[in-house]
Amino acid sequence: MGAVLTGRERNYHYNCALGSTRAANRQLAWTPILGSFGTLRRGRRMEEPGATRMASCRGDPLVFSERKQHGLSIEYTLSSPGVSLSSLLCCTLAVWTVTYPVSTYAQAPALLASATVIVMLGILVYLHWIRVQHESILVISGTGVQLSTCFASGRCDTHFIEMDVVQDIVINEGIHRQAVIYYLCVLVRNNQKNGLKAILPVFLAARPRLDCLRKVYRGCQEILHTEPNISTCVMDR
Amino acid sequence: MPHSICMVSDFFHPNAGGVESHVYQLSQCLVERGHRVVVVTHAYGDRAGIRYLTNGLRVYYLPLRPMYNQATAPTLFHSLALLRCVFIREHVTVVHAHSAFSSLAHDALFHAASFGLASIFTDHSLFGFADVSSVLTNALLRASLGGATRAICVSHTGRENTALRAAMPPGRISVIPNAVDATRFTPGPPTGNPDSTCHDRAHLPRSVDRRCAGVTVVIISRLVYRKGVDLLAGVLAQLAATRSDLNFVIGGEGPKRIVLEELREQHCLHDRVTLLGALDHRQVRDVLVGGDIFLNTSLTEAFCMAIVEAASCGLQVVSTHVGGVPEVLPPDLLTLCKPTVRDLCAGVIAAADRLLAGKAPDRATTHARVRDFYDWRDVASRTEKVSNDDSSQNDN
Amino acid sequence: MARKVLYERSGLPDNHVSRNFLETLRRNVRVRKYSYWSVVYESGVVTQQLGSVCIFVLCWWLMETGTLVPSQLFTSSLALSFLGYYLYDVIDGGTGRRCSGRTRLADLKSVLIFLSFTYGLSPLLKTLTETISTDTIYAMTTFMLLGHLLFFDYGANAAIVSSGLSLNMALFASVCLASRLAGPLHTFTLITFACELFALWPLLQKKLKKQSTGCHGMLTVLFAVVVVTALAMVAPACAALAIVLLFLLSFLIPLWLVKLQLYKDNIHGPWDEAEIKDDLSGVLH
Repeated sequence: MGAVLTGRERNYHYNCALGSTRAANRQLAWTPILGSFGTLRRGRRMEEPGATRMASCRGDPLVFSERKQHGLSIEYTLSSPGVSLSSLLCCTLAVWTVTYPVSTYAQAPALLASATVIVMLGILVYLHWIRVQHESILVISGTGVQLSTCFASGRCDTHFIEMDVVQDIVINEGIHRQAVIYYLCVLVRNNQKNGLKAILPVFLAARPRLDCLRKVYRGCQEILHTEPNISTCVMDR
Repeated sequence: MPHSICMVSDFFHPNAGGVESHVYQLSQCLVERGHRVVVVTHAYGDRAGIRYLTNGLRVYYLPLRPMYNQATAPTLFHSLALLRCVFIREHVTVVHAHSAFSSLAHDALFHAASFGLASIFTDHSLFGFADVSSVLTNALLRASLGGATRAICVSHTGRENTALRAAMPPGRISVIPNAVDATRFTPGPPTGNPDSTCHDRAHLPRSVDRRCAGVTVVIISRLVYRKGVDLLAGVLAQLAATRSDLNFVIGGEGPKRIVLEELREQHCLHDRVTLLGALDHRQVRDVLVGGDIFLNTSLTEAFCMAIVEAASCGLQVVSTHVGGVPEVLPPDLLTLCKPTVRDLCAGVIAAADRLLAGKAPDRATTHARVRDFYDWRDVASRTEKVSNDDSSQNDN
Repeated sequence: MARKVLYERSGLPDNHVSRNFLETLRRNVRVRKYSYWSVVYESGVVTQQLGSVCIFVLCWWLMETGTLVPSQLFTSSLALSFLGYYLYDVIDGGTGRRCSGRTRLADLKSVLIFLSFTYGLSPLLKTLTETISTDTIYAMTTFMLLGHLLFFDYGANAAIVSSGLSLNMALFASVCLASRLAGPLHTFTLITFACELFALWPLLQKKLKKQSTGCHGMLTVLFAVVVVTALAMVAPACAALAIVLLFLLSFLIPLWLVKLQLYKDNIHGPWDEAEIKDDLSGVLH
């Protein structure tokens, strides 16, 4: 019943529970840049059996998967399709098509070389800091909520919130650029005083639609309001 | 048939004023009548996004930068995407824009016309025709109201003015006055125990305390040229010299405050003239019930809400004969004067004499009469009728 | 016919238009009726100012070509100034002087101070614009003189009128032109002449206009003739253009003004902002 947490993942969660997210990050190997091309291939193979296709607010396709440990934890992951090789090649070719005549006319071969270097750096920056591969929210009963964002280069950003400062997980509506969208957010309580310390939005890059958010909301609410029961947890063998 | 109404205006809570309270009260009464109402305005500082007020009234604070006097830039298309999103999302059937000073309202009227939605424009102010700013605003209004299907004005004078400015057939303009929340503006002692100690009433100045002798004249308005602060200064100077039993309480803030402070210095009226500064909306009633006469010296006014609030608190009202003021209250509750110092002084003196002779109308009766005259629910039902006419015309 | 009140329900629908709708509307209450010949007469002020500018430029031109010697210009302009000074006092029988309280001695002191300063500074002013090209000087002068004509106080109460600005522009133009002349004496003469013409002459002009109507008419004709002759001396084509311009200014534009009054449509009603007619200067500072 429910997915088995492998040893590696359990360690990861244990470390997160202790609050050492940096250690957890180190456990996830920082894949070298060529590995990002692995992501390209991996992206296509990574659809898990329980995954469903959903759409984002703008209509982009998303892959939605749910991993549930009954009564203990629940994890929702939204994946965008990987960066396609053809788009990177097109981008590079476009820059070359513009720069080559300019460098020939201006008799500055350094221009073409520098343009190439800039494009490469740009792609690196894009893959490492901008392009989000998948985002997930993990709610562990009695422990806390973990939000993680993984970029196309393999870098992962995680943020852990302890359960005693989590007030609630709600669907709110807000204005994003030129549209009004629904978004899921975690309400973080202010320990000393009453009121909220922060509202942390989830799935910022994916921006799924309301049907997807409803599923996530229901799942999270179920876990938030059940007491942690040790007997349902699968022990390490 | 319930409508989905979208109220659009640059001026809304947390800004305080006539238009803001009009939009809020009307929205609440329409919600009570079973319609769906949302309010669209621009973001006020950090307050951007979607907020909820009483009865689930949803307010969209669009992230548009206000340019001058809380109005956004009149570029027309910077709000198109967001307005369209709101109209589709809320399944809006009627767009109700408020105030000619609000560029967001004009934008909404224009876009509502392109989307084929019924649109109503409520005009809260009067404009002249002579100076450059009026000429430009009138041209803008003609363009906006070209697309509006109906208009609402708050007085008959307002309707004549709008019909001329916007070249709109008067049959498409309805006259629906503002109203006053009679449950908040009641005569009687200030909130709190009438026998409260001076500690409780320390926040109110001595002259507001009704137990002090003499007649108290209350003036509550923004201290700008348009509200006749220069006239007020002249009236204060003359009345303070001729009558020693008159005290004055002035509430409100503005660039012309300096004129009144200088007057006070010049004639040494510190004990008789009190300047309270900007008043919170909750404090207005307390200041009003502490007075006996309400003086309004505006140079132009479409419908003076302050007068109705004062009459609802049972005060006698003395005002200049301008704009739509004569239509607001019957002659026994309202003394009209020409906009000259002499006439206004005579009006105030007559009211004070009436009070001292015991011939002033009873406060409770005045309040009951004003409560019958103006009611927000009545305004909402008349507005609903305009929306119904509008939609049936659209269907045809 | 329903009463125009908001506190009573008349039973009629809210958008009902009664017969007394817009009955308080008034049109063109404050429109002035102009008579053609009086406008023509008044337009003489513009002709006279144009004449002043032409005379000034002509004097500069004559000094530039050497026809006019500075001493001649200086003495004649000084003599005319004294005559004007005497006329200024005599014309209203001395009331002006008594009201202003200035003594003849004070006037003499001002004149002497001005003359000495200008004489002393004229070498400086002569070399002021040496590095600037002649074309720029001419363009600036034209611009300044046009500005002078635009902002001059012709007696109308309009926002654009600024006598200070117009005088400054004229004097700046005179400094520009004077710096192109042969020597410091020429500069000094031209600047003094410009001051007399642009600062002192308008004062006498206004007084003359107030005192007698015939004088004003004669002056207008005189200035028009002077303009045409002056320009004829320089270039005949200019004279022809000047005649056309003067005709336009004096006869056609007043006709246009009178005709345009027919299109005036001012709307007045209870919605207008009330005007405060009381004199509140005692209360307000």
